[in-house]
Amino acid sequence: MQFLIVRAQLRDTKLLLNDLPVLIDGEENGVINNVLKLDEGTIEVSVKTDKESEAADFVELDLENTTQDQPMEVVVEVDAEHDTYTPVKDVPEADTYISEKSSEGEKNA
Amino acid sequence: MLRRIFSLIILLVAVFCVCRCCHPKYNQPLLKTVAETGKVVKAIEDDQTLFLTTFSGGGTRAMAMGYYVVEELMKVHYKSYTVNNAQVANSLADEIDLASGVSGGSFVAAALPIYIDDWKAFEEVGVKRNIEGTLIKKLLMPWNWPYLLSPYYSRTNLASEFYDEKIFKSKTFGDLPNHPKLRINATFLAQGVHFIYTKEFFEYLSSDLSSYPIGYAAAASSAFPIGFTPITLKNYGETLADSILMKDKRVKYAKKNSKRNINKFVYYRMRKFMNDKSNEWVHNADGGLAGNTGIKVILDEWATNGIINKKLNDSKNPLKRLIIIVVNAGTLTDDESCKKESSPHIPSVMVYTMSTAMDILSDERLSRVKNKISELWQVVQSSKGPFSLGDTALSLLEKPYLIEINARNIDDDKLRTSFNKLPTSFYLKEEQLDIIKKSVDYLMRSNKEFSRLKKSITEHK
Repeated sequence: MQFLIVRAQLRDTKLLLNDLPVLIDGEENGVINNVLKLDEGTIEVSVKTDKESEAADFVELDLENTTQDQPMEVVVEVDAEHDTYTPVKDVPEADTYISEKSSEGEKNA
Repeated sequence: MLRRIFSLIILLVAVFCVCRCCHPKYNQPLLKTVAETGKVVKAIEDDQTLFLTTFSGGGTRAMAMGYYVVEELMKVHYKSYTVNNAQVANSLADEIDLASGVSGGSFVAAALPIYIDDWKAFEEVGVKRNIEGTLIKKLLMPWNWPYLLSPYYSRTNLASEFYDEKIFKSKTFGDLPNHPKLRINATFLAQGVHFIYTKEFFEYLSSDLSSYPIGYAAAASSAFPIGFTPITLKNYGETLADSILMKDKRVKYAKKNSKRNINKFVYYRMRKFMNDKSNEWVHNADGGLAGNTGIKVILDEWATNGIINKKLNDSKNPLKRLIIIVVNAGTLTDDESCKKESSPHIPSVMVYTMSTAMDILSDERLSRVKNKISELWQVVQSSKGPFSLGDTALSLLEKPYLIEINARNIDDDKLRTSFNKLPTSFYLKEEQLDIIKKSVDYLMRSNKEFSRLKKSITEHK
């Protein structure tokens, strides 16, 4: 079993969000800020930002060698504000892996 | 004289032509207008319980064993609640979310969504029926001979039509409710892996599952070599360029992980094969050849985006019970070959070869399920401890229930010996069925995990 925590951050801000579903290889599997328990090594992570589109970046991760106590943490940057976002108050600045800005081709791949 | 010979030749040519024209009913191509399968929700069930069952192969012995296990589950009353908090009284059998079956076990798995409201009827049409005798009679009927002489139509096709009409009420996959999910496992001969009769697998063939008869899938799943020939499916559509195929994330990541994960390698290879439409025909034989218990389905559902894994990450509606029942109708027979100097005949060697591989594979997969349960339970316990990460998705989870119903676990020597003497065929006499019923009753009564489950259900009423 591999362990992952996904956080979502509004692009160009330090605003972290919650209550968003996590997409693992394109399929909904858990929500952000929870420890997710996964099986495979290499996966692609995103968050679902509204019902119609997936505006967040896709981040490819290798989860080998994670433990429950030391899960991999990833922050997925989100392009624009949506009604479904619920900003989190008083959260520390994200100091973990922040995804590279993905190219258009990678989006919706 | 010459005229008679000429007439005979004409007759033979005519028969030959008729035979050449006899094709079985194949799977249909995928059309955009075809309705999706399983749209009708049958029952309101507890979504905090995830209940998966697997039914092994073993002819009528397996069919009967699975049937009596479900009958026992029906005796366990189960109360659940709708989203509006209205109470719904069901039996534990109604809570089955996924049924995986192989060969004889595929008949029980497929019967669940069809006969759940009239389970006794399945005993009459399936378990007690002399399927073997009926099929032999059909083979002897002269009007079936032109079909059987065709290179495209086999006795397995004859069996499939019989199963479709007489056992599965001519139901297709599109007629089934979406609960429980059905997984009929056959063996994809060209690749040596399970072909599972799901919408997903049919889409690999650009084919429509909803119009495909359940009886045909059960026939493929139980087409044991020598006795039966494989059932053929057509691979429709156009070969996609690699760049397009890689847009499918499962294929993309299967390729990426294929060097370090055998399952990913096998999946990638299979998708490549099916995408190549010059491979126009897919031949499926008995599901037991690639694992006789159907447990592979449990492992697949435990993978990242499988049903089990998604429920383990569902913090909005945390899972309370994960129940897995593995019904294995395998027998242990005394081997007589070591008492003779002469080496076993080829058919015996073939049976040894197939059954040994099947048993080892099944046991290894069961061990992996046990390991996953153990690993999960460790995570749950540490999540609940004083230094926990506060995992809400696992906050309610009881220790997962793995209930193995296997005749080798019968401690009563007499009953176990009687069970092990049961043949693998598609007909058993009343007294033989009675041995299976008694064995199931014994195994379920003495199963500590099943007792623990019943206790939990009773306490939480």
